[in-house]
Amino acid sequence: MKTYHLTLGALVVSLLASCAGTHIEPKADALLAAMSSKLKDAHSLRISGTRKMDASLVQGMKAMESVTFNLAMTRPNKVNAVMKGADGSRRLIENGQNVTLVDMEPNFYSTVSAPGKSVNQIADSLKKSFGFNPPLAEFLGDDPRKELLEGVTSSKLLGTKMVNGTNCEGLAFTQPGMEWQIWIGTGDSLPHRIEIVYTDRAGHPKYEANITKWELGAQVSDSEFIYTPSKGARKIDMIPVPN
Amino acid sequence: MNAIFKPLMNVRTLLIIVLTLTAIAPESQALPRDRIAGRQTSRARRRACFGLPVGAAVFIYGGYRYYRAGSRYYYPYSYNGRTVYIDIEVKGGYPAPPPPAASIDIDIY
Repeated sequence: MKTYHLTLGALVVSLLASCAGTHIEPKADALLAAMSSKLKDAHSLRISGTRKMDASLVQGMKAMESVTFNLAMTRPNKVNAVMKGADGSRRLIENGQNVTLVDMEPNFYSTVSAPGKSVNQIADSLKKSFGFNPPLAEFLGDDPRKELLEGVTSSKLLGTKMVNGTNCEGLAFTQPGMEWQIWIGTGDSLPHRIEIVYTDRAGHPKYEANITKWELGAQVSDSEFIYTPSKGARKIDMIPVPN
Repeated sequence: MNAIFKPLMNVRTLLIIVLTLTAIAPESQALPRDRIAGRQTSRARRRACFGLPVGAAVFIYGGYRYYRAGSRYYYPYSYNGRTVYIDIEVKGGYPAPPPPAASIDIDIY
């Protein structure tokens, strides 16, 4: 009887897994778990890198956007990110209560209420209400592995290669609407590149972020999460996403 | 993977939401979306651009700080994390008051 129950249980689990259509390679899951654990353990961090995004991923954009970014974070919910590109520089500050977005060249800023206990909560709220997110928010939350695997249906190991000077293990994932790869350092367990292809959009636009510098446990002052408008700064309204 | 990278919810979640809404709100099906009680979805569509035309200059009128280029007026907002300049209606040669942010739907050109 015990064997029967175990067999039945295994069958049910197998059936549920099959219905859910999810297959994650154990090694891929282990690498993500190690990365996630390392990121969660860092109370503060600084990262730098580059991000490229095809034009069709942003309404009205005419050409691929390429930016450099520098981001500082203190857990659980404080972020200061600066992005510099051909069309100027933008800064995003989250302090757990408000989010301020600064467009530096015209010297405009917008502040909206976005309370949240974690970067994930704030990111979800911002995306839902205002249609944007802090860069690389998936890596800054309470459980990056869980965030990343949400909706994933299959995975594949890509082997190792040098990414931004670091030997990395490549993992590929598929989920409805997108295929993505992450390259995790074999020595440091940190993500060094993420590439996404949006398979449900015309032309399959791409997104790529390279993290060229990681500084876990960095010295980050609370003053970095305070925005004081400079002389001549102008406050503008933020347009919410339609319901 | 959701917040930043995933623009659309997955198909299964969408299907569950649609089925749930179908089950709990059958009367609403016959109503236009913006007429369903308690829900206001219509917004004024506005043309907008990421950058101002060359030569645009500050123009202050009615307590608002517009930008003027030729006979057109623009007003800045933050949209999807970027600054956009919305075309403002002109009445009698002067710009109308800028619309409230929550009333705007954007077409970027």
